[in-house]
Order: sequence, then C-alpha cells, then structure tokens
Amino acid sequence: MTFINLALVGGTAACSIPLIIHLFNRSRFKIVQWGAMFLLDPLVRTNRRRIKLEQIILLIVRMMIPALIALFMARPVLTGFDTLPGDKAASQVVLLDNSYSMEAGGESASPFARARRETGDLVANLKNGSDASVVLMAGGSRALFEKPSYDMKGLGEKVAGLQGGYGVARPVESIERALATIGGMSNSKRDLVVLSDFQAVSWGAGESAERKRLRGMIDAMAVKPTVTFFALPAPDADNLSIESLQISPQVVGVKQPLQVKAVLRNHGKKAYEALRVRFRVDGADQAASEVAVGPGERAQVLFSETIDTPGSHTVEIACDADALKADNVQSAAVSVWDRVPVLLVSGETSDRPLRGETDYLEVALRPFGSGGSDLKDLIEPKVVVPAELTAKALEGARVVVLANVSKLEAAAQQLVEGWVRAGGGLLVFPGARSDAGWYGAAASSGLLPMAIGGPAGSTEDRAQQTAVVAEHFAHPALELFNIPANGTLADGEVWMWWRLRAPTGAETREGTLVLARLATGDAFLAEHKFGEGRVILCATACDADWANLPMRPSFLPLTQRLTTYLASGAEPPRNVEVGKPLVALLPPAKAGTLVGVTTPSGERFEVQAREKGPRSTVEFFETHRPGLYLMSAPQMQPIHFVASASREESRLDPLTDDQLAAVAAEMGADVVRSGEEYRRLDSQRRYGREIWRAVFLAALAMIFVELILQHLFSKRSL
Amino acid sequence: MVRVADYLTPQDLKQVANLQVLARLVVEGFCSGLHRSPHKGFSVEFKQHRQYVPGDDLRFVDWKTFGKSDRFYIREYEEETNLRSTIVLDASGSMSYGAPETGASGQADTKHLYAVRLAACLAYLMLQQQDSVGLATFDTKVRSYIPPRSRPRHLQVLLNGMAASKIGGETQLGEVFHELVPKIHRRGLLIVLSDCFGDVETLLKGLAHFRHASHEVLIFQIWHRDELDFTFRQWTRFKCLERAGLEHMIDPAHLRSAYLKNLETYRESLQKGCYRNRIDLVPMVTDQPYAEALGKYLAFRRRR
Repeated sequence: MTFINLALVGGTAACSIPLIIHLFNRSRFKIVQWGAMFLLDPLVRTNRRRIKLEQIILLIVRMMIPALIALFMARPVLTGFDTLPGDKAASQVVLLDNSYSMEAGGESASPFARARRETGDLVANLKNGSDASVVLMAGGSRALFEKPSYDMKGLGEKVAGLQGGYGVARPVESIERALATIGGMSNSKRDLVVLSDFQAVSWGAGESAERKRLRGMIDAMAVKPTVTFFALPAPDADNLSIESLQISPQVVGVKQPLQVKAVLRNHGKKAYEALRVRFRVDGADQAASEVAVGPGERAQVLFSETIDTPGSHTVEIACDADALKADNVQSAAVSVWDRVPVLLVSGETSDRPLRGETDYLEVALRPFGSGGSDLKDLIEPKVVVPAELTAKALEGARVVVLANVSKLEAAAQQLVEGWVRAGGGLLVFPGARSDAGWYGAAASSGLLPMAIGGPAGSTEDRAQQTAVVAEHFAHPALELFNIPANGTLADGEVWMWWRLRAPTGAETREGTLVLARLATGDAFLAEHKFGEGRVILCATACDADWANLPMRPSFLPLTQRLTTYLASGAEPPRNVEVGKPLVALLPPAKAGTLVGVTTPSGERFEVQAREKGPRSTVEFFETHRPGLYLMSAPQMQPIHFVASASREESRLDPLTDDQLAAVAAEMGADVVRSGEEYRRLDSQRRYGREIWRAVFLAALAMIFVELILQHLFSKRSL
Repeated sequence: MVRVADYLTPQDLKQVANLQVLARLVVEGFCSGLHRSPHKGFSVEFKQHRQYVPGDDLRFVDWKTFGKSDRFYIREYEEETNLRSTIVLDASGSMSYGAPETGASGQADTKHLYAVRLAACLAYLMLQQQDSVGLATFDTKVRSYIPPRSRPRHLQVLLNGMAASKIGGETQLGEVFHELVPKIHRRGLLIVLSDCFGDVETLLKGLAHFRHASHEVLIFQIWHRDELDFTFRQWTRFKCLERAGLEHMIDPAHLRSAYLKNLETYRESLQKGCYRNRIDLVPMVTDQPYAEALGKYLAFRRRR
C-alpha cells in the first residue's frame, strides 16, 4: 500500500477526535438525584455489558469516519491485488529503441518493425483515460510528443510512421528522460516499457552503476512505475559494417587525387569470400572492388579518385553484405577547392637558389609545379616583399605567410589584421631579422598568439641544438605525424629559435594553443583565433639558416597541413556527429535569406541565414538522423553535410538470457518477449489499484452505519 | 403559624374558591334538576330562598312565603355530609425530586411541594364543602395522623401538619398502608398523594387492605416531567434519592427507550391493579395546574 499524498496519511490521527469527544463528554457528566431508580436500576444492571459493547462499537465506527476521510484524501494505492478486468486507466511510457541495430534482418522482419507494431498494440490496448508517451532511445532521447498524449489513435498513427536507423541507443539517458515524463503523468498505474534488442554493447556491465542509480530514482518516486523489458533480439548476429571512412588529404583541389579509405568489419560468423564494395561520388558509382573478410576480421579498401569540379561533393562506400543496411554504407562530405592562393611575404629575397627566406616553403607548398610534374598543385604560392603587402595583393589570398619579416608598417599591419579578422589564415615564421619589439606589440594587440622573447641557441655551437618533441598530437594539422609511417617532426635539428612567451601584461592568453614543443620546453608552434581567422606562430625560421627542418621529409606535409588547415580553418566541419549542429558560413550579403535543408529522411526545412560577425551563418540543429544533409538555396552552391553515428551497435550480439535477467534485476524490471506475454504479465502483475473511491464510499457507509447504529441502539427494546 | 397563603398563591386560592363555588353550583345544580337530591333529609340548616324554576320539586316550595308574597320560592338548606376523607401525603425520598439541586429540569418545585399544595387545595375545597378532612403523612412509616374534622378551623391544623412533614427515606407504600388501616376507624375516602414508586404488588396489597376496610381510595400519582419523558442528553450520574450509594453512570440517550418501556409496563400494571380494586388512579405532573386535580376529585365525588 502506498499513498499519493503521503502527508495526508497523518490525517488519520483525526480518528482520535471522536475518542476525545467521548472522553470529554464522560468527564463532563451531570449529576441527577433520581427518584424513579426502581425503573432505571434493573435496566442498567441487566444491560451494563451490552451497553458498553454498543458504545465501543459506536465509538469505533465514529473513529473510523475521520480516519477513512483522511485516508481517502491521501489517495491510497493498494498493491498486491490483481486489477479487475477493464477498470484501470494507466500512464504508460514506451521507450522505443530506434537505433540502427534494430533494423537487422531487413524491412519487415526487423526488430524495429516488430517494435513499432508492439508499441502500436500497447498504446491501442490502453483503457480509456490512460495517457501515454513514446520516447525514442536513439537520436537524443526525444519524446514523440512534447506532453503525454490521451489521443491513442493519433499516437498510434505517429508510431506507425516512425522510421528507425538512428544512431546509437542511450538506454540510461532515455530511461532517465522517461522517468521524468512518467513522474508527471496522471494515473496511479504507471508502466515503463522498454522495447529494445538489448545489445550487449549498449546494455553491458559498464552501465551497471548507472542502472543502479536509475533504480534508486525509481524507488524514490512517489508512485513507482513498473518496468518491463520487451526484448526483441536481432534475427541473427551476422553483420558486417563499414566501420570508418578516412579521406585524405583534408583539402582537396580540383583534379587532385582524393584517397578514400574504408575499414570494414565483420562482426558475425559468416565469412565473405569476395565482398563487393562500391565507391560512389555524388551518388554515381565510380569504382568497385572485392575484398575478403573472415569472421571477426577487419578489412580495408582504398579508393582514389579525382574530382573535376570545385565545390561540395559527397563520397560514399557501400557494400551489399547483409540485411542491416544502415551500417553497410558510410559517406562523407568533401569540399573540393579550385586552388588555395597563398601569399608568401619574404623578409629576405635572394637570387641564389634556396637562399631566399621563402624558397624552401614555396617548393614545399608546390611540389608538383616545382618538380615539373603534370599534376596540379592545390596551393598556389606567390612571393612578395613586405612593401608589396597591399589590399590588392591580399584579395583572393587564403593564407599569408610572414617569413623572417622584421616588422610590418602600421598600414600593412592594419590591413592584415582586418583580413585575418574576416577569416584569413596567417602563418608566421620569425627569423634573424625579426624585430622582437614589433612582434611583442603585435602579440599584445592580439594578432599574434605569443610574443617572441629572445633568440636562443646558436648557429655555430651545435651543442645547443634542440628538436621538436615527438608526442601525440591532438591538433588536426599535426595528427598526421601520430602515424610513424608519415614521418616524424623529431628528426629535424633546430639550432636557433625564438623563445615564445606570453605577450606583456598577460600571463597566458585565453584560447592560445601550443601545438608542439621543443625539447627545451619552449613552444614550437602556437595558434590562436583572431576574429574569424586563425594565426599560427612558429618559433623558428622556415629556411635552412636556423634549422634543418626544411630539408627533412616531414617539412612538406607539415607546411602543407598547416597551410590547408589555415585555409580551411574558418570553415565549420562538414562531417559531424549526429546531434551536432550543421553550420555553414555564407558571404555577409546572404544574411536574411532562407536556406533549405534536406534531411536524410527527405524532409525539407527552411533556415534563415543570420548575420554573425563579418559573415552570415546558417545553423541547423535537427541532425539526429545519420546520413546526408543538403543545404541549398537559389544562387548558392549546394553544401553537403554528413552526420554520422558511431558504429558500435554493429556488433549485434544480444545479451544472453542470464545477462538480461541480471540487468532486469538491477532495474527491478520484468522481461517479456511477446505482446501476449506482456498482457499476461500486466494483468497478473502486482500493481496498485487506486482505492480512494472505495475508501470514500467506506467513509460514507460508516456515516450511515453510525446513524443507523445510534438509532438502533437507543430505540432497541431491552 | 402556617397559613393557607403559604402554600396557595392568590391565583390558586381564587381558582380554588371559584372552583368551589363553580363546582358546587355545577354539581348541585346538575343533580337537583335531574335526580332527587341524594342529600335530602340531612339538610337541617336554612341557607337561602331561591326563585322557583319549572322542574323544581314542589315539595321544597315555601308555601308560607307564597302566602305572603304570592310568589314561588324554594327553601334551600345548607348541606351537611357524612364524608370523612383522609389525605395520605407521601414524604418519601423520591418525592424530593424536582428541586434544582436534584438536577431536574423545568420548574423548581419538588414533587413533595406540589403534593403539599395539592393537599392544601383539596383540604380547603373539602372543608368548604362541609366535609371532614384528616391527614396522614408518612415516609418509611406513618409520621403523623390527624383525624378528620369538618370545622373550618381544622384547615389550619391540617396545614400545620402538612408543613411539618419532612422528606424521609425509602418507602414501601404497601407496608405503610397496612400500618395506616387500623388508624382510620370509620370508613371514608382516602386521597393518596404519592408517586407510588416501588413494588407494584405490595402497593396493591396495601391498597386492597384499604378497600377491604371499605374505604374509597383516590390516588393522585405525582410525576415529574423528567420521570415521564426521560429527556436527559449528556452523560449523567444518577444517584438514588432513597437509597444512599446506589448510583449509575450512564449515557441516558442510550437507555431512554428502554426506560420508557419499563415505565409503560409499570404504569400499566399499576393502572390494572387499581382498576381491579376499583381505585381511581389520577396521574398528575408537577407542571399541571392544581385545578385539574380538583376537577378530577369533583368528578370522583359526583360519581359516588
């Protein structure tokens, strides 16, 4: 027995009121000197015990009245009784697993199709006055309707139209959400039904502590919901997924080779001798290959392709391995650039080969052009002297490199600052000619991430030389060097370098990131954001005077990466995780225009571009469904986005019966495997009946009984 | 010296006096027209002349006056009676109910006081009618006995006797009546003013003893309204007026109907017993006017 208004249970103490009145009346008795005692005495003598009994009965009845009224106001819920058939409205929350693993087994045979049907049945079987809510477990734990619905027909139709194939289910998060919903519902019989395939990945032992916390939450609720696990295991555990897709390089130029590498993983026991894997660009088949993937094995496929038109494109790798289609495809959005103009500002030019300040850099940025190859370079470097740094020169450039520039004139500095603020990338290599004072001032004004303290090391005394520390790089421009095959930064010698320090007046600046360090502990690369653009400061020069880095194999990828990173740095990512917003930057003139967004399920939304800083931005938040999103508007090149979900659910192994029973025990849940079983459980289940009506009627009955008894006892012949 | 006015208010007296005149007129006038007067031959003292009305017995026409005045007059005589009545006044403990200290509701007179007043009225009335009246008071036994006399001055003696009666203890009416019988030598009328509480059987035996001695018996049974209605509401401790230490703490509402039923049985058996013994039982409630009792008495007298 539980109570909805627990505090009112204390009101049953009101049963003492009649008792007090009785005692008070008795104590306030009257004394009568009575003459006709011969009439009264025998009555009292013969009926003393009976009168006493009657008074006790009457007193008990009277005491029960206030107690019952208090009890009825406390809304008791009787547990431990079967409900009468058809009399009970319920509040039900159905947690529907809509993650992609539920689609195993094909369209109609999939657990999701069954879950959808069962949810429809559950909702349709609710009695009048019931309210229900359907919460989806994947894609951000959303409820189908904001508030619990009493319209079971509407809810059923909405459920029938549901699509699966969302990302990874989050059981704990969604159960928490469901409990919050169920706590505010109106009926005293409350049910939480979890329809899921109960995969070992999502329901494993790792979440045990969290589940116990949820159990605590359930136990702490005023009206405890019943929890039922409706297990809908996948038809078979055989599954092959495309686990990941890697694209290199990050920034692709027109007609440049684009390499797409996919990792396939076979989670099942079936061996694929020759699995056909197709490669598509913008939806059109470009290539195919066959791989063999044994049970439990991984396999890689690599496709290389050039794209002829600049703009936004999609690449996709697909295979027809099994019925679970959602993880047989993996796609990515690729931005193909026509070219990346880079302005190299050289502090020291020379006629002799490789003696100019930017000569090594130019070669590294334009390897094909320098080597006389037919292949087209993405980056187009152009060398100027500081005096030539004008607005016209900056126009069209995506990255500016300051190589051993002593200082910029005030006008030029202002120009560069404005240009970076608008989204340009600035790469700075100070050298022997650099004016530490100007660099310090530029750092203080915010343009440079750090100031240069003083030169360290010596070009003569090689004993003082240092090197870049080989560590794990988190920065996207340096991630490449985490793989040993791509070379290492640590094999270069740095003879002289500037000690980078925080600008005067500030200990460290917010947002300044040190990407790499020298063995001496000094920063080697420092980055920060300036307006919409980014600035990277290197501690040493980019020619061979201060270090032999430019002559190392790692110099080319390093400079290429840094340049393309700076060139693309202002662009928000096109490949995002599900649930993260899609952001596109448009020219400022586009502010206010409506941009259409087409989602993977074919729905079309309109989003207004808003002015934000020097650009206008479009943001779209409904990205719970993995797949391809297309942003388009008139007079605008379409932009592709790909929202991808983790592939951890591709491992279809469900919990074993024992494990499932253990998980259910943790949550205090019952496990069913069919709708029939659930209905049986529901009718037999020891859930509560709200009995306030009965208690109220009992109180009324007691009032009548009291009247009748009183009448009877005083009228009755003795 | 006790005076009538101590017990009778001017209104009472007036009522009694009126009643006396009225009653006599009614009774005598009623009787003289219809029947032969039962009292002829006892008339010795001339009282007045009255004009003849048709229907008067010609025997009583005063022919001498007719001779002198040529008008018919009837000679009327002061009536004399041989009625000897004794008022038996109960002064037992139960008669003290009705005073505020006993916890009774309503007016503050005890049953005893009511009985005394009623006795005074009756005595006054009877003496006015030339009947002889005596008085016996009792509680546990007979306390005083005044033999019947018909002199008007006897009223004072009777009143003194009534005033001297004090409330006593427990009564057994039957025994008291047995005790009283030998004291009243000549047969006559016994007017019992009592609540008749107690065992009906012994009471009836005592009354039968009176009847056996050829006495007429008229009982005015004095009730208090509380005793008839039992309208107590709250918890009450009932203490017996006659027997000390006998008390009951009860919820009266609970017992009312049973009490009333008991009362009914008692009254019925008493009534039946009285009827059997040809005794007139007149219940009086203390809030009733005394005149009603006198009316009953006169009706009784007329019947005999």
